[in-house]
Amino acid sequence: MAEETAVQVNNVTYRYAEGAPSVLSGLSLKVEQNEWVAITGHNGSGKSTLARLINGLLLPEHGDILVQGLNSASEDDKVHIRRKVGMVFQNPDNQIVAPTVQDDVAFGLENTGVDPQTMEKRVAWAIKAAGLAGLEHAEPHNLSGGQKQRVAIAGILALKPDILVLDEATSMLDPLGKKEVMSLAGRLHKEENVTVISITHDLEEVLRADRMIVMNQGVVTADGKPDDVFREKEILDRAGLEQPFSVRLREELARREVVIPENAVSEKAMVSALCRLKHKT
Amino acid sequence: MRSMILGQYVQGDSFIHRMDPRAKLTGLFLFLLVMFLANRPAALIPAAAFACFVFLMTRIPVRYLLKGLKFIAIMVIFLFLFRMLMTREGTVLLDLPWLPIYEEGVRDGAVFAGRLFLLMVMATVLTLTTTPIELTDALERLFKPLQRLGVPAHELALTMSIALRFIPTLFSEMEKIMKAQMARGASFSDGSIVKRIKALIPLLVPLIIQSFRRAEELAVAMEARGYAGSEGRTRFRQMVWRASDTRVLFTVVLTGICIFALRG
Repeated sequence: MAEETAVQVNNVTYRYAEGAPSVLSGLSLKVEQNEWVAITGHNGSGKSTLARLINGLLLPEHGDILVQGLNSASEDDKVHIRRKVGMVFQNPDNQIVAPTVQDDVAFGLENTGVDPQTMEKRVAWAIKAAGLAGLEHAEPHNLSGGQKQRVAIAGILALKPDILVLDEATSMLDPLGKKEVMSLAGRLHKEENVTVISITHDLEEVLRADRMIVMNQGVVTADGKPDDVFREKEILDRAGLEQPFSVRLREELARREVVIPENAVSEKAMVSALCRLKHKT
Repeated sequence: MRSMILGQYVQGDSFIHRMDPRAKLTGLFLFLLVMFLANRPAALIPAAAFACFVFLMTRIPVRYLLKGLKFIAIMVIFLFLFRMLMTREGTVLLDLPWLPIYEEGVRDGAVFAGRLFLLMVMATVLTLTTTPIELTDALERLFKPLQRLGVPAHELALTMSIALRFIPTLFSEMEKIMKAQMARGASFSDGSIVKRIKALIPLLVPLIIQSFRRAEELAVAMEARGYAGSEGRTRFRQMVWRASDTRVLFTVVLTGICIFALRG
Protein backbone atom coordinates (compact mmCIF):
# COMPACT_ATOMS: atom_id res chain seq x y z
CA MET A 1 0.00 0.00 0.00
CA ALA A 2 2.83 2.37 0.82
CA GLU A 3 4.13 1.92 -2.70
CA GLU A 4 0.86 2.95 -4.26
CA THR A 5 0.59 6.27 -6.04
CA ALA A 6 -1.10 8.77 -3.72
CA VAL A 7 -2.98 10.68 -6.38
CA GLN A 8 -3.27 9.90 -10.04
CA VAL A 9 -5.01 12.35 -12.36
CA ASN A 10 -5.71 10.86 -15.78
CA ASN A 11 -6.56 13.15 -18.66
CA VAL A 12 -9.09 15.16 -16.64
CA THR A 13 -11.31 17.81 -18.15
CA TYR A 14 -13.57 19.96 -16.01
CA ARG A 15 -15.88 22.90 -16.57
CA TYR A 16 -18.15 24.58 -14.05
CA ALA A 17 -21.15 24.80 -16.36
CA GLU A 18 -22.26 23.40 -19.67
CA GLY A 19 -20.83 25.58 -22.42
CA ALA A 20 -18.46 27.39 -20.05
CA PRO A 21 -14.76 27.32 -20.94
CA SER A 22 -13.00 24.34 -19.43
CA VAL A 23 -11.02 25.03 -16.29
CA LEU A 24 -8.95 21.90 -16.68
CA SER A 25 -8.31 20.50 -20.12
CA GLY A 26 -6.83 17.04 -20.37
CA LEU A 27 -4.81 17.34 -17.18
CA SER A 28 -2.66 14.40 -16.15
CA LEU A 29 -0.34 14.15 -13.21
CA LYS A 30 0.82 11.81 -10.49
CA VAL A 31 1.71 12.46 -6.91
CA GLU A 32 3.68 9.73 -5.16
CA GLN A 33 3.22 8.64 -1.58
CA ASN A 34 4.99 10.85 0.95
CA GLU A 35 5.86 13.51 -1.59
CA TRP A 36 5.48 17.23 -0.90
CA VAL A 37 4.16 18.86 -4.02
CA ALA A 38 3.48 22.55 -4.48
CA ILE A 39 1.01 23.48 -7.18
CA THR A 40 1.18 27.05 -8.29
CA GLY A 41 -0.19 29.27 -11.03
CA HIS A 42 -2.07 32.55 -11.33
CA ASN A 43 -5.76 32.98 -10.49
CA GLY A 44 -7.98 30.91 -12.72
CA SER A 45 -5.25 28.48 -13.67
CA GLY A 46 -7.39 25.68 -12.28
CA LYS A 47 -5.31 24.82 -9.23
CA SER A 48 -8.10 25.13 -6.66
CA THR A 49 -10.43 23.20 -8.93
CA LEU A 50 -7.85 20.43 -8.99
CA ALA A 51 -7.84 20.35 -5.18
CA ARG A 52 -11.60 19.92 -5.08
CA LEU A 53 -11.47 17.19 -7.69
CA ILE A 54 -8.94 15.21 -5.66
CA ASN A 55 -11.26 15.19 -2.65
CA GLY A 56 -14.32 14.26 -4.70
CA LEU A 57 -16.06 17.57 -3.99
CA LEU A 58 -16.20 17.98 -7.76
CA LEU A 59 -16.31 15.22 -10.32
CA PRO A 60 -14.39 15.36 -13.61
CA GLU A 61 -16.26 15.69 -16.88
CA HIS A 62 -13.80 13.41 -18.64
CA GLY A 63 -10.99 11.30 -17.33
CA ASP A 64 -10.68 9.99 -13.81
CA ILE A 65 -8.94 10.62 -10.54
CA LEU A 66 -7.56 7.83 -8.40
CA VAL A 67 -6.65 8.37 -4.77
CA GLN A 68 -4.57 5.38 -3.67
CA GLY A 69 -6.36 3.42 -6.33
CA LEU A 70 -9.87 4.56 -5.33
CA ASN A 71 -11.90 6.32 -7.97
CA SER A 72 -13.39 9.65 -6.88
CA ALA A 73 -16.41 9.13 -9.14
CA SER A 74 -17.53 6.06 -7.19
CA GLU A 75 -20.10 6.83 -4.50
CA ASP A 76 -18.81 4.02 -2.27
CA ASP A 77 -15.20 5.10 -2.51
CA LYS A 78 -15.95 8.75 -1.87
CA VAL A 79 -16.35 8.19 1.87
CA HIS A 80 -12.94 6.52 2.01
CA ILE A 81 -11.33 9.19 -0.14
CA ARG A 82 -12.58 11.91 2.18
CA ARG A 83 -10.98 10.09 5.09
CA LYS A 84 -7.69 9.77 3.24
CA VAL A 85 -7.58 13.29 1.86
CA GLY A 86 -7.81 16.14 4.33
CA MET A 87 -8.39 19.62 2.99
CA VAL A 88 -7.57 22.96 4.55
CA PHE A 89 -9.21 25.92 2.86
CA GLN A 90 -8.25 29.54 2.49
CA ASN A 91 -10.50 31.31 4.98
CA PRO A 92 -9.81 30.19 8.54
CA ASP A 93 -13.17 31.49 9.76
CA ASN A 94 -15.31 29.58 7.34
CA GLN A 95 -14.21 26.05 8.02
CA ILE A 96 -14.66 25.75 11.76
CA VAL A 97 -18.07 24.26 12.43
CA ALA A 98 -18.31 23.81 16.18
CA PRO A 99 -18.28 26.38 19.00
CA THR A 100 -15.15 25.06 20.71
CA VAL A 101 -11.79 23.74 19.53
CA GLN A 102 -12.28 20.18 20.77
CA ASP A 103 -15.78 19.90 19.33
CA ASP A 104 -14.49 21.05 15.98
CA VAL A 105 -11.57 18.64 15.98
CA ALA A 106 -14.08 15.89 16.73
CA PHE A 107 -16.40 16.88 13.87
CA GLY A 108 -14.76 14.70 11.20
CA LEU A 109 -14.58 11.74 13.59
CA GLU A 110 -18.26 12.14 14.44
CA ASN A 111 -19.08 12.08 10.74
CA THR A 112 -17.27 8.81 10.21
CA GLY A 113 -18.90 7.18 13.20
CA VAL A 114 -15.86 6.58 15.39
CA ASP A 115 -16.82 5.32 18.84
CA PRO A 116 -16.66 7.92 21.63
CA GLN A 117 -13.77 6.36 23.59
CA THR A 118 -11.47 6.25 20.57
CA MET A 119 -12.69 9.70 19.59
CA GLU A 120 -11.66 11.20 22.89
CA LYS A 121 -8.13 9.81 22.56
CA ARG A 122 -7.75 10.87 18.95
CA VAL A 123 -9.04 14.38 19.62
CA ALA A 124 -6.62 14.83 22.50
CA TRP A 125 -3.76 13.49 20.41
CA ALA A 126 -4.56 15.69 17.39
CA ILE A 127 -4.87 18.83 19.50
CA LYS A 128 -1.50 18.12 21.06
CA ALA A 129 0.12 17.29 17.73
CA ALA A 130 -1.13 20.58 16.29
CA GLY A 131 0.40 22.44 19.22
CA LEU A 132 -2.96 23.56 20.55
CA ALA A 133 -2.76 21.97 24.01
CA GLY A 134 -4.54 24.14 26.56
CA LEU A 135 -6.93 25.57 23.99
CA GLU A 136 -9.36 22.61 24.02
CA HIS A 137 -12.27 24.71 25.26
CA ALA A 138 -11.34 27.93 23.47
CA GLU A 139 -13.92 29.47 21.18
CA PRO A 140 -12.86 29.98 17.57
CA HIS A 141 -13.36 33.75 17.57
CA ASN A 142 -10.76 34.08 20.32
CA LEU A 143 -8.07 32.37 18.26
CA SER A 144 -5.55 33.89 15.88
CA GLY A 145 -5.69 33.09 12.16
CA GLY A 146 -2.75 30.70 12.46
CA GLN A 147 -4.38 28.94 15.41
CA LYS A 148 -7.65 28.59 13.50
CA GLN A 149 -5.88 26.98 10.55
CA ARG A 150 -4.11 24.66 12.96
CA VAL A 151 -7.51 23.73 14.41
CA ALA A 152 -8.58 22.88 10.87
CA ILE A 153 -5.45 20.76 10.43
CA ALA A 154 -5.99 19.08 13.82
CA GLY A 155 -9.52 18.17 12.72
CA ILE A 156 -8.06 16.48 9.66
CA LEU A 157 -5.21 14.95 11.60
CA ALA A 158 -7.64 13.23 13.97
CA LEU A 159 -8.84 11.22 10.98
CA LYS A 160 -5.26 10.06 10.31
CA PRO A 161 -5.24 11.05 6.67
CA ASP A 162 -2.62 9.99 4.13
CA ILE A 163 -2.83 13.14 2.07
CA LEU A 164 -3.08 16.73 3.21
CA VAL A 165 -4.26 19.29 0.66
CA LEU A 166 -3.58 22.90 1.60
CA ASP A 167 -5.72 25.05 -0.67
CA GLU A 168 -4.08 28.46 -0.23
CA ALA A 169 -4.31 27.75 3.46
CA THR A 170 -1.83 30.45 4.44
CA SER A 171 -2.87 33.24 2.08
CA MET A 172 -5.01 35.01 4.68
CA LEU A 173 -2.53 34.67 7.54
CA ASP A 174 0.09 37.00 8.94
CA PRO A 175 3.77 35.93 8.70
CA LEU A 176 3.70 34.27 12.12
CA GLY A 177 0.53 32.32 11.28
CA LYS A 178 2.07 31.24 7.97
CA LYS A 179 5.11 29.95 9.76
CA GLU A 180 3.04 28.05 12.33
CA VAL A 181 0.94 26.34 9.69
CA MET A 182 3.84 25.48 7.39
CA SER A 183 5.99 24.08 10.16
CA LEU A 184 3.07 21.93 11.34
CA ALA A 185 2.60 20.63 7.79
CA GLY A 186 6.33 19.98 7.62
CA ARG A 187 6.24 17.99 10.84
CA LEU A 188 3.34 15.86 9.70
CA HIS A 189 5.11 15.24 6.43
CA LYS A 190 8.20 14.04 8.22
CA GLU A 191 6.80 12.28 11.28
CA GLU A 192 3.46 10.93 10.09
CA ASN A 193 4.51 10.36 6.47
CA VAL A 194 1.67 12.49 5.19
CA THR A 195 1.71 13.37 1.50
CA VAL A 196 1.34 17.14 1.20
CA ILE A 197 -0.19 18.88 -1.79
CA SER A 198 0.11 22.58 -1.22
CA ILE A 199 -1.69 24.93 -3.55
CA THR A 200 -0.13 28.32 -3.15
CA HIS A 201 0.92 31.68 -4.50
CA ASP A 202 3.62 32.04 -1.91
CA LEU A 203 6.99 31.34 -3.49
CA GLU A 204 8.69 30.77 -0.16
CA GLU A 205 6.18 28.02 0.44
CA VAL A 206 6.90 26.51 -2.95
CA LEU A 207 10.56 26.28 -2.02
CA ARG A 208 9.70 23.94 0.87
CA ALA A 209 8.34 21.38 -1.57
CA ASP A 210 10.13 18.41 -3.08
CA ARG A 211 8.47 19.12 -6.36
CA MET A 212 6.59 21.97 -7.93
CA ILE A 213 3.95 21.98 -10.60
CA VAL A 214 3.12 25.14 -12.52
CA MET A 215 -0.36 25.31 -13.96
CA ASN A 216 -1.56 27.66 -16.63
CA GLN A 217 -5.00 27.64 -18.24
CA GLY A 218 -5.85 24.18 -17.03
CA VAL A 219 -2.69 22.38 -18.10
CA VAL A 220 0.65 21.64 -16.47
CA THR A 221 3.34 23.87 -17.94
CA ALA A 222 6.22 22.89 -15.69
CA ASP A 223 6.87 20.04 -13.30
CA GLY A 224 10.09 19.43 -11.46
CA LYS A 225 12.29 20.38 -8.54
CA PRO A 226 11.62 23.96 -7.41
CA ASP A 227 15.30 24.85 -8.00
CA ASP A 228 15.07 23.74 -11.60
CA VAL A 229 11.66 25.18 -12.38
CA PHE A 230 12.48 28.58 -10.92
CA ARG A 231 15.35 28.93 -13.35
CA GLU A 232 12.96 28.71 -16.31
CA LYS A 233 12.12 32.37 -16.39
CA GLU A 234 10.11 32.08 -19.59
CA ILE A 235 7.71 29.50 -18.23
CA LEU A 236 7.26 31.44 -15.03
CA ASP A 237 6.53 34.64 -16.95
CA ARG A 238 3.91 32.92 -19.04
CA ALA A 239 2.25 31.53 -15.90
CA GLY A 240 2.32 35.00 -14.37
CA LEU A 241 4.77 34.04 -11.64
CA GLU A 242 7.82 35.78 -10.36
CA GLN A 243 11.10 34.14 -9.48
CA PRO A 244 11.69 34.01 -5.75
CA PHE A 245 13.99 36.62 -4.32
CA SER A 246 16.90 34.22 -3.74
CA VAL A 247 16.85 33.03 -7.36
CA ARG A 248 16.74 36.59 -8.68
CA LEU A 249 19.57 37.55 -6.36
CA ARG A 250 21.69 34.64 -7.56
CA GLU A 251 21.15 35.55 -11.19
CA GLU A 252 21.92 39.19 -10.57
CA LEU A 253 25.11 38.19 -8.76
CA ALA A 254 26.06 35.79 -11.54
CA ARG A 255 25.84 38.67 -13.98
CA ARG A 256 28.40 40.44 -11.82
CA GLU A 257 30.48 37.28 -11.83
CA VAL A 258 29.80 36.33 -8.25
CA VAL A 259 29.06 32.63 -8.11
CA ILE A 260 26.55 31.30 -5.62
CA PRO A 261 26.00 27.53 -5.51
CA GLU A 262 22.81 26.55 -7.29
CA ASN A 263 21.37 24.62 -4.40
CA ALA A 264 21.19 27.77 -2.30
CA VAL A 265 17.52 28.38 -2.94
CA SER A 266 15.99 28.79 0.48
CA GLU A 267 16.55 31.99 2.37
CA LYS A 268 18.66 30.25 4.97
CA ALA A 269 20.92 28.54 2.43
CA MET A 270 21.30 31.82 0.57
CA VAL A 271 22.35 33.68 3.68
CA SER A 272 24.95 31.08 4.60
CA ALA A 273 26.25 31.03 1.00
CA LEU A 274 26.63 34.80 1.11
CA CYS A 275 28.43 34.61 4.46
CA ARG A 276 30.84 32.04 3.11
CA LEU A 277 31.46 34.33 0.16
CA LYS A 278 32.46 37.09 2.50
CA HIS A 279 34.91 34.83 4.29
CA LYS A 280 36.69 34.08 1.01
CA THR A 281 37.28 37.70 0.05
CA MET B 1 -29.28 45.18 28.24
CA ARG B 2 -26.60 44.56 30.82
CA SER B 3 -29.24 43.70 33.40
CA MET B 4 -30.50 40.77 31.32
CA ILE B 5 -28.76 37.62 32.47
CA LEU B 6 -31.16 35.07 31.00
CA GLY B 7 -29.07 33.30 28.38
CA GLN B 8 -25.69 33.87 29.97
CA TYR B 9 -23.47 31.16 31.35
CA VAL B 10 -21.49 31.33 34.58
CA GLN B 11 -18.70 28.82 34.86
CA GLY B 12 -18.84 26.61 37.89
CA ASP B 13 -18.61 23.11 39.20
CA SER B 14 -21.71 22.78 41.36
CA PHE B 15 -24.08 19.84 41.38
CA ILE B 16 -26.45 21.78 39.14
CA HIS B 17 -23.64 22.58 36.70
CA ARG B 18 -22.74 18.92 36.48
CA MET B 19 -26.30 17.65 36.05
CA ASP B 20 -27.21 16.01 32.75
CA PRO B 21 -28.51 18.86 30.56
CA ARG B 22 -31.37 16.62 29.45
CA ALA B 23 -32.43 16.30 33.08
CA LYS B 24 -32.23 20.06 33.52
CA LEU B 25 -34.43 20.69 30.48
CA THR B 26 -36.93 18.02 31.45
CA GLY B 27 -36.90 19.35 34.99
CA LEU B 28 -37.69 22.87 33.81
CA PHE B 29 -40.59 21.60 31.74
CA LEU B 30 -41.93 19.52 34.62
CA PHE B 31 -41.59 22.52 36.92
CA LEU B 32 -43.68 24.59 34.51
CA LEU B 33 -46.41 21.93 34.44
CA VAL B 34 -46.41 21.50 38.18
CA MET B 35 -46.89 25.21 38.76
CA PHE B 36 -50.15 25.13 36.83
CA LEU B 37 -51.60 23.15 39.72
CA ALA B 38 -51.43 26.21 41.93
CA ASN B 39 -54.63 28.24 42.12
CA ARG B 40 -53.78 30.53 45.04
CA PRO B 41 -50.57 32.29 46.09
CA ALA B 42 -49.99 30.04 49.10
CA ALA B 43 -49.88 26.98 46.85
CA LEU B 44 -46.83 28.42 45.12
CA ILE B 45 -44.78 28.28 48.31
CA PRO B 46 -43.38 24.78 47.64
CA ALA B 47 -42.37 25.87 44.12
CA ALA B 48 -40.67 28.97 45.51
CA ALA B 49 -38.87 26.85 48.10
CA PHE B 50 -37.71 24.47 45.40
CA ALA B 51 -36.45 27.35 43.23
CA CYS B 52 -34.55 28.86 46.17
CA PHE B 53 -33.04 25.50 46.99
CA VAL B 54 -31.89 24.90 43.41
CA PHE B 55 -30.48 28.38 43.12
CA LEU B 56 -28.50 28.05 46.34
CA MET B 57 -27.05 24.81 45.02
CA THR B 58 -25.61 26.53 41.95
CA ARG B 59 -23.31 28.57 44.27
CA ILE B 60 -23.81 31.59 42.05
CA PRO B 61 -23.87 34.82 44.13
CA VAL B 62 -27.43 35.97 44.90
CA ARG B 63 -26.45 39.52 43.95
CA TYR B 64 -25.83 38.32 40.42
CA LEU B 65 -29.32 36.91 40.13
CA LEU B 66 -30.99 39.96 41.71
CA LYS B 67 -29.25 42.26 39.26
CA GLY B 68 -30.42 40.12 36.38
CA LEU B 69 -33.98 39.90 37.60
CA LYS B 70 -34.65 43.64 37.38
CA PHE B 71 -35.94 43.39 33.86
CA ILE B 72 -37.98 40.32 34.64
CA ALA B 73 -39.46 42.03 37.70
CA ILE B 74 -40.87 44.80 35.53
CA MET B 75 -42.58 42.22 33.33
CA VAL B 76 -43.91 40.38 36.36
CA ILE B 77 -45.35 43.54 37.94
CA PHE B 78 -46.96 44.47 34.66
CA LEU B 79 -48.54 41.04 34.39
CA PHE B 80 -49.76 41.26 37.98
CA LEU B 81 -51.46 44.64 37.38
CA PHE B 82 -52.96 43.45 34.12
CA ARG B 83 -54.47 40.29 35.58
CA MET B 84 -55.62 42.13 38.69
CA LEU B 85 -57.52 44.77 36.75
CA MET B 86 -59.00 42.35 34.23
CA THR B 87 -60.53 39.93 36.72
CA ARG B 88 -63.81 41.09 38.17
CA GLU B 89 -64.98 38.46 40.60
CA GLY B 90 -65.39 38.11 44.32
CA THR B 91 -65.79 40.93 46.79
CA VAL B 92 -64.65 44.43 46.00
CA LEU B 93 -61.54 45.30 47.96
CA LEU B 94 -61.06 48.86 46.83
CA ASP B 95 -63.83 50.77 45.14
CA LEU B 96 -61.98 53.15 42.87
CA PRO B 97 -64.39 55.06 40.62
CA TRP B 98 -63.09 53.68 37.30
CA LEU B 99 -61.14 50.64 38.32
CA PRO B 100 -62.68 48.66 41.13
CA ILE B 101 -60.25 46.09 42.50
CA TYR B 102 -61.69 42.70 43.34
CA GLU B 103 -60.41 40.06 45.71
CA GLU B 104 -60.28 37.45 42.98
CA GLY B 105 -58.26 39.84 40.86
CA VAL B 106 -55.51 40.24 43.43
CA ARG B 107 -55.35 36.52 43.96
CA ASP B 108 -55.34 35.68 40.26
CA GLY B 109 -52.75 38.35 39.53
CA ALA B 110 -50.48 37.09 42.29
CA VAL B 111 -50.68 33.50 41.08
CA PHE B 112 -49.91 34.47 37.50
CA ALA B 113 -47.10 36.80 38.46
CA GLY B 114 -45.65 34.23 40.87
CA ARG B 115 -45.69 31.53 38.24
CA LEU B 116 -44.01 33.70 35.64
CA PHE B 117 -41.43 34.91 38.14
CA LEU B 118 -40.50 31.43 39.31
CA LEU B 119 -40.39 30.11 35.77
CA MET B 120 -38.06 32.92 34.72
CA VAL B 121 -35.82 32.29 37.72
CA MET B 122 -35.58 28.61 36.86
CA ALA B 123 -34.97 29.30 33.18
CA THR B 124 -32.21 31.71 34.20
CA VAL B 125 -30.71 29.07 36.48
CA LEU B 126 -30.75 26.66 33.54
CA THR B 127 -28.82 28.96 31.22
CA LEU B 128 -26.51 30.15 33.98
CA THR B 129 -25.36 26.60 34.62
CA THR B 130 -25.47 25.08 31.13
CA THR B 131 -23.35 26.00 28.11
CA PRO B 132 -25.26 26.70 24.88
CA ILE B 133 -23.68 23.70 23.20
CA GLU B 134 -24.84 21.40 26.01
CA LEU B 135 -28.32 22.81 25.61
CA THR B 136 -28.46 22.25 21.85
CA ASP B 137 -27.05 18.77 22.33
CA ALA B 138 -29.65 17.97 24.96
CA LEU B 139 -32.44 19.32 22.77
CA GLU B 140 -31.26 17.16 19.90
CA ARG B 141 -31.27 14.06 22.04
CA LEU B 142 -34.61 14.79 23.66
CA PHE B 143 -36.24 15.35 20.28
CA LYS B 144 -34.57 12.39 18.65
CA PRO B 145 -37.59 10.10 19.08
CA LEU B 146 -39.57 12.64 17.06
CA GLN B 147 -37.17 12.25 14.14
CA ARG B 148 -39.27 9.35 12.91
CA LEU B 149 -42.23 11.68 12.73
CA GLY B 150 -40.25 13.97 10.45
CA VAL B 151 -38.94 16.44 13.04
CA PRO B 152 -35.40 17.25 11.84
CA ALA B 153 -33.92 17.20 15.35
CA HIS B 154 -30.31 16.73 14.27
CA GLU B 155 -30.45 19.39 11.57
CA LEU B 156 -32.09 21.91 13.89
CA ALA B 157 -29.52 21.32 16.61
CA LEU B 158 -26.63 21.57 14.15
CA THR B 159 -28.04 24.80 12.71
CA MET B 160 -28.37 26.20 16.19
CA SER B 161 -24.83 25.25 17.16
CA ILE B 162 -23.42 26.75 13.93
CA ALA B 163 -25.42 29.92 14.60
CA LEU B 164 -23.94 30.10 18.10
CA ARG B 165 -20.46 29.61 16.74
CA PHE B 166 -20.87 32.37 14.13
CA ILE B 167 -22.55 35.05 16.26
CA PRO B 168 -19.24 36.53 17.53
CA THR B 169 -17.69 36.22 14.06
CA LEU B 170 -20.57 38.15 12.51
CA PHE B 171 -20.44 40.76 15.26
CA SER B 172 -16.79 41.49 14.58
CA GLU B 173 -17.54 41.56 10.88
CA MET B 174 -20.32 44.07 11.44
CA GLU B 175 -17.92 46.25 13.40
CA LYS B 176 -15.47 46.10 10.51
CA ILE B 177 -18.12 47.06 7.94
CA MET B 178 -19.31 49.85 10.20
CA LYS B 179 -15.80 51.27 10.41
CA ALA B 180 -15.36 50.93 6.65
CA GLN B 181 -18.61 52.82 6.03
CA MET B 182 -17.72 55.43 8.62
CA ALA B 183 -14.40 55.96 6.87
CA ARG B 184 -16.46 56.84 3.80
CA GLY B 185 -18.45 59.38 5.74
CA ALA B 186 -21.45 57.31 6.81
CA SER B 187 -22.96 58.19 10.14
CA PHE B 188 -24.97 55.84 12.32
CA SER B 189 -25.77 58.09 15.24
CA ASP B 190 -27.11 61.36 13.81
CA GLY B 191 -30.40 62.41 12.36
CA SER B 192 -33.96 61.27 12.69
CA ILE B 193 -34.97 57.69 13.33
CA VAL B 194 -35.83 57.22 9.67
CA LYS B 195 -32.41 58.45 8.70
CA ARG B 196 -30.71 56.16 11.20
CA ILE B 197 -32.64 53.15 9.97
CA LYS B 198 -31.71 54.03 6.40
CA ALA B 199 -28.07 54.23 7.46
CA LEU B 200 -28.27 50.56 8.45
CA ILE B 201 -28.88 49.44 4.87
CA PRO B 202 -25.25 49.86 3.73
CA LEU B 203 -24.34 47.90 6.85
CA LEU B 204 -26.74 45.01 6.47
CA VAL B 205 -26.37 44.39 2.75
CA PRO B 206 -22.64 43.57 2.86
CA LEU B 207 -23.16 41.60 6.06
CA ILE B 208 -25.84 39.44 4.49
CA ILE B 209 -23.87 38.92 1.28
CA GLN B 210 -20.83 37.93 3.33
CA SER B 211 -22.93 35.54 5.40
CA PHE B 212 -24.11 33.77 2.27
CA ARG B 213 -20.53 33.43 1.10
CA ARG B 214 -19.51 32.09 4.49
CA ALA B 215 -22.38 29.61 4.46
CA GLU B 216 -21.32 28.30 1.10
CA GLU B 217 -17.68 27.92 2.09
CA LEU B 218 -18.66 26.27 5.36
CA ALA B 219 -20.88 23.82 3.51
CA VAL B 220 -17.98 22.83 1.24
CA ALA B 221 -15.65 22.47 4.23
CA MET B 222 -18.21 20.31 6.04
CA GLU B 223 -18.65 18.10 3.00
CA ALA B 224 -14.88 17.78 2.64
CA ARG B 225 -14.78 16.58 6.25
CA GLY B 226 -17.20 13.83 5.46
CA TYR B 227 -20.43 15.30 6.78
CA ALA B 228 -23.40 13.44 5.34
CA GLY B 229 -26.30 14.02 7.71
CA SER B 230 -27.11 12.35 10.99
CA GLU B 231 -26.99 8.78 9.75
CA GLY B 232 -24.06 6.74 11.04
CA ARG B 233 -22.82 9.67 13.09
CA THR B 234 -21.42 9.26 16.58
CA ARG B 235 -21.11 11.97 19.20
CA PHE B 236 -18.03 13.34 20.89
CA ARG B 237 -19.97 14.72 23.82
CA GLN B 238 -21.40 11.95 25.87
CA MET B 239 -24.19 12.55 28.36
CA VAL B 240 -24.53 10.48 31.46
CA TRP B 241 -27.88 10.32 33.19
CA ARG B 242 -27.09 9.57 36.82
CA ALA B 243 -29.38 8.40 39.57
CA SER B 244 -29.09 11.88 41.06
CA ASP B 245 -30.64 13.33 37.90
CA THR B 246 -33.66 11.12 38.34
CA ARG B 247 -33.83 12.17 41.98
CA VAL B 248 -34.00 15.83 40.97
CA LEU B 249 -36.92 15.13 38.65
CA PHE B 250 -38.58 13.19 41.45
CA THR B 251 -38.18 16.21 43.71
CA VAL B 252 -39.98 18.34 41.12
CA VAL B 253 -42.86 15.86 41.13
CA LEU B 254 -42.87 15.93 44.93
CA THR B 255 -43.07 19.72 44.81
CA GLY B 256 -46.07 19.25 42.52
CA ILE B 257 -47.77 17.02 45.10
CA CYS B 258 -47.19 19.64 47.79
CA ILE B 259 -48.68 22.30 45.52
CA PHE B 260 -51.69 20.11 44.91
CA ALA B 261 -52.16 19.61 48.63
CA LEU B 262 -52.10 23.36 49.23
CA ARG B 263 -54.71 24.14 46.58
CA GLY B 264 -57.58 26.20 47.82
